[in-house]
Amino acid sequence: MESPNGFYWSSRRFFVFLLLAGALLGVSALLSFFWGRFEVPPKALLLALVKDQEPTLHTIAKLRLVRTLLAASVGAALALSGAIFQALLRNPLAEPYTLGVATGAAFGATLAIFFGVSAGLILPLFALAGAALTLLVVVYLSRTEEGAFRPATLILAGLVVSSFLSAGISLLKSLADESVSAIVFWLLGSFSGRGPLELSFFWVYAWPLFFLAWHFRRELDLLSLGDIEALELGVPVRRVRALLTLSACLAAAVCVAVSGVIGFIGLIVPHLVRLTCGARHQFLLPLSALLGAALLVFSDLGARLLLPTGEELPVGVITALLGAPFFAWLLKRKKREIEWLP
Amino acid sequence: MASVNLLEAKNVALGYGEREVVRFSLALRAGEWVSLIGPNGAGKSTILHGLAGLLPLKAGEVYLAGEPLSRLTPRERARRVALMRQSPGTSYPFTAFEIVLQGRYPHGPSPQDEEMALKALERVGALHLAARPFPSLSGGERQKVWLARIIAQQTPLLLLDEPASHLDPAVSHEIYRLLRELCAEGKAVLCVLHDLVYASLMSNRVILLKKGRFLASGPPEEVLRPELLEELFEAPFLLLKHPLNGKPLPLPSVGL
Repeated sequence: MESPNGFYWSSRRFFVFLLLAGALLGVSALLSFFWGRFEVPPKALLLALVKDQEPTLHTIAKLRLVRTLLAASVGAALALSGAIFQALLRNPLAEPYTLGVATGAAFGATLAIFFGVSAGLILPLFALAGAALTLLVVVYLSRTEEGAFRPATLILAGLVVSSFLSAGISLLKSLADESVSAIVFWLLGSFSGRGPLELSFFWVYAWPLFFLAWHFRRELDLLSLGDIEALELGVPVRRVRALLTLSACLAAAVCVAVSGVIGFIGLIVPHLVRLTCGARHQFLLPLSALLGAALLVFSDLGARLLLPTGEELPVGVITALLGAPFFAWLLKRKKREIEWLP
Repeated sequence: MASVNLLEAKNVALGYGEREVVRFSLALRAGEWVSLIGPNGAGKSTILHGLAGLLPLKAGEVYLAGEPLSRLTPRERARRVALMRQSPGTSYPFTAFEIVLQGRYPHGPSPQDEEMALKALERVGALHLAARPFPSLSGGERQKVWLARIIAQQTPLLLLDEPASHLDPAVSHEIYRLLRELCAEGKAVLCVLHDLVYASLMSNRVILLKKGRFLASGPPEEVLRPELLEELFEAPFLLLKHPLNGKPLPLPSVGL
């Protein structure tokens, strides 16, 4: 019998793309570390990282390193979370923010800024609390009598709660005087001024997503076809679904909590990967994480350097400016090949 | 044929919420094809879902090759019974081969999985579709690939919910022929059918289901009688005999 290679998206192809995505992430990380507003010779910057002789240089090196790590982590988590929601909700338009947790987190953060209590980890904690409350409401609204969830109902409940909280955010913005610009800038997403505190805060809450996504990669394949189909093959659907939803929501919420609402990474990256290596989660998840990380590090680099005045752009602006046209181009050019897109 | 019952359902009650939809007892031996016939809403699909372990039993017990369903883990259950419905649509570009490979899930990852998936695809005559994205296949091709997935699952008991009702005559013929072959090899088949002609030609036994109860059960010759069918569907029927094997061919008496 012929070899199955070529009968599905082969693992050789996957490894090639894995190397490419890894290289892309490496390049983006190096650029992000060595290239900045202050021009420092690469050697001096590397030395400053390990030795504490010049305080300014040491601070710059540390800040750039942490910022690069945080952007990569958030990018990876957003892309993974997007891939998982697209599978669980069986909807190609799903993304990390579909269930409304992002708006919940944004509302919490806006409250913190509004009341002027945004120092240290207080803002991220407010955001996390907002996201948790939102998820509770969405789950309560969409739960059927038998305790089951229908994807369409979940999406609708997320939409309803999201619009309500958006209105709340607008209300707070119009009530706030001085803090309006802080709120607006925060909402658009940025890594400006984030440090080791945010990085560790992120990983405390985001690691379950990375662990569970990989652990349940085969189950995700089955769930993306249908709950009955997965149950029929022996997947404990409720448990897997609950664990994955919770961890993906938590990761999305903590992304918003540390860096604001950064759009498009979670929507586009999984689609890009499916175009190159197919839909199997065994391939889709690692590639999405690497590509999401690389794209967000590049976007953050752009956010830091693009404005000639020396000010920073919100990174969410960059991802949307790049992401939307790219997605449109993809849709138009590849329409026939990507017939699975609606 | 082995005399052990691959499926035995004793006083099983099934339903949703408070509502009881069906109550029945049933046994299937290896190599036996039993068809379930009845109007929409009679509880046919509910029976299949209950026997496949997708619905909690309200009463009674189901035994799969002697083992009570309630004591099996989901994976153990999926190694004993497979449910085939109309293949679902998907937006994601799984290849046909990957879809079939998923049928190996209950057996855990093993090095033989890929070969088994290929054999299953070859068996249904769909090997040439292996590399195609599942969403790009026609309805008939999809159903064949889905059948290959059920074959790859390698269960002794098959529950089929209208396995070919939406397909053109050539493809349905092919699907039924393959299923009959599997049955002849020793699998037990319980099949929900609307097509009375296929029910008559394929079955060892036919069960008429009305409002959650068995109205009649027996060989096609005894059960597919116009008066029973009229009672079942509340519509008039004529009866012909198949010119080659004498099996009953019920026809709706409409447009005469």
